[in-house]
Amino acid sequence: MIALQQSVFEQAREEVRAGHFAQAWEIAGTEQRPLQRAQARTYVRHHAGDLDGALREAHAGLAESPRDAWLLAQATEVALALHHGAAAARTLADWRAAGGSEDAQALERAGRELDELRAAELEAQAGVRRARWISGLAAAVVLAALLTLTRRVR
Amino acid sequence: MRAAWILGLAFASGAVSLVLELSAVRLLAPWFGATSGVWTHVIGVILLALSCGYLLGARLARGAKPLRSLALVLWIAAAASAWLPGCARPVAGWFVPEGLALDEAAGVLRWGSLAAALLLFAPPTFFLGCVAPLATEWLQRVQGSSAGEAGGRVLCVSTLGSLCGSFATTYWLIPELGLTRTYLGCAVLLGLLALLASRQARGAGAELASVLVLGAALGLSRWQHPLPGPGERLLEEVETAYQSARVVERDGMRFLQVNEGFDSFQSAWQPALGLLPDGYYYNTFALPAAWERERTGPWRTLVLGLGAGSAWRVLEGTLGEGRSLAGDGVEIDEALVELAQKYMDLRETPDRRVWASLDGRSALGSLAGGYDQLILDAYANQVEIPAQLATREFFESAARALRPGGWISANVGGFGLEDPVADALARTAARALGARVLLFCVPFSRNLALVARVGAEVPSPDSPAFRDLAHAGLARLASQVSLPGTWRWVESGAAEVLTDDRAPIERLQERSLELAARARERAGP
Repeated sequence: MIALQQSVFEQAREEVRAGHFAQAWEIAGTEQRPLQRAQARTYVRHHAGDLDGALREAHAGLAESPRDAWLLAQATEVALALHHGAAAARTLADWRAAGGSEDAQALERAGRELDELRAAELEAQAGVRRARWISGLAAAVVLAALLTLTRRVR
Repeated sequence: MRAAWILGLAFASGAVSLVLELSAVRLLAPWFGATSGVWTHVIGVILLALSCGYLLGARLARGAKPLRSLALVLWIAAAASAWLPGCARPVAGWFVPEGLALDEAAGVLRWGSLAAALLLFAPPTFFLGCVAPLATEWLQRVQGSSAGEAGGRVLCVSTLGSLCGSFATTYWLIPELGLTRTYLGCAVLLGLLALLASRQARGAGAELASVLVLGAALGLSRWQHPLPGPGERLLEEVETAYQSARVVERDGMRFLQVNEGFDSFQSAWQPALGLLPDGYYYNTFALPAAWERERTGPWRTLVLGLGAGSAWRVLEGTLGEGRSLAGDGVEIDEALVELAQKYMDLRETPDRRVWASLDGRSALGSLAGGYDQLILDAYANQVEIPAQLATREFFESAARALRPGGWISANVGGFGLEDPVADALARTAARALGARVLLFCVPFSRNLALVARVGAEVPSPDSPAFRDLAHAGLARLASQVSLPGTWRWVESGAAEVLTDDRAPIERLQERSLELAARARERAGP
């Protein structure tokens, strides 16, 4: 049974390596067990460059097996590549809880990337807030100036 | 004679107002783009500042010494103009963090461009607005003329000055002098006028301080582009008649960037011809020739938005034996062609001509036609889509320029197959061609490729004809984009399409950015 599980994923991987993504996708779809099918499909979509699709497949698999470290790792990495900070943060936390010591380096790298992404997101939000304040302040100044300057002088 | 100098002053300040207005978008474009929204913010801010300036000028004109007030506002306007080049990057950077991705930029584009325009351009134009009422007042006092007569003469010369300023900015100042020297030139001119007004006013006490402030601004202020990205080496940067352009090198590849603030580029180059690495949408332009492999001889292309010719280099390296690349490349910005010839091996041959300084839409009507493929790569920065290259009438002209069975390939920036901009463009093309259009996601990219055909069907991605290609790299690419969920057919349907009369591109783009931001927030297990 285990050999068969590996076989589907391995076959899909072989097809991906050969550049046959359509065939790899078909093979991945033949896997009967949901977790293994999600893993194979995530792998194929990720390597075909369909990052949104890979993230969807990974999340679908995690709905069935929320603590699968491989899917959590994939979901985190793809979410980071897509700049989906919130999604990456959720799966990274679960990955930390589920991951073994062999994932330590990858976890550390993902954590670093997430911190950078979060910092950029916060900076962008701060930029928008600043711009809104400046615009509002300018509107108030203009209104005050108009009221002052249009008042008749005796 | 006494009237002549004040009218000359009004003329010059009118000219400077328009120079500031027309160059403002150029100053902001590297961070915020040059969309209609940015233009609207800049023009709105300048009109608001001018109107407030008129009121302040009217109030100052009641004073005993309008000439002294005139000198003062000119000094301040001069200093505020001189600081513009130096302040642009810190001000823009205050709103737009370095390395921000396009899909994170929706709010920044809208509010940041407005706030930056307010901080940078409201001060000088506000004080320039004071000039006309003060000049009118002085003219009326010294000549004893009526308010209407004095005002009419000042408005006349000031508007003529604006006219000269507008032409000079586009055709001489920015292309010849660049932004920094244009602004510093404006500051020097305003400073000289202020000096003249100070002399006429006899005894303006703030003259020395004003000269010092202006001198400091002139000495220290210099415009700087956004910094190149990490690991990028700048090869050259220029101010063209249309945009800020630069060539950078990274990991053995070169990139032509124009007004780039959001991790994007106009053209990519690598030493070898043929497919670029994964993620470069130019590779998709080579698919139609591969799908129509039975057609030998020259493959005639018309590229609208040639840039540095990346599409040609990819095609040339993938056509295979017995086939050659021919056709025309149209690029509106001549300076980009020069940069490409210098750094990215763009060459003209008798079969392959480059048409610079020509708009894509007008080129369609003037070039010979009968092309095998029209490549549309003119949607700059992914947020600037020229409306004239996105309408039903445009796609109808494109179809007429192709031979029967010819192909249209377009690159569209977007966020997924349901992206509102991509959807509208695809529906418009489908309506114009009377055939369904294929839209697919470019692997490892946020770009979408649009493929249509005149009087024939595009192969379906789920068919062997789509994937079984002689070129291994293209077969791999076709296989990547054939996965379910990464492509869809678009029919024109009954919904409205983009036309020359009505093409709400900006609204669609805003919706696209908002949907992308919302999708990012929602994504999760």
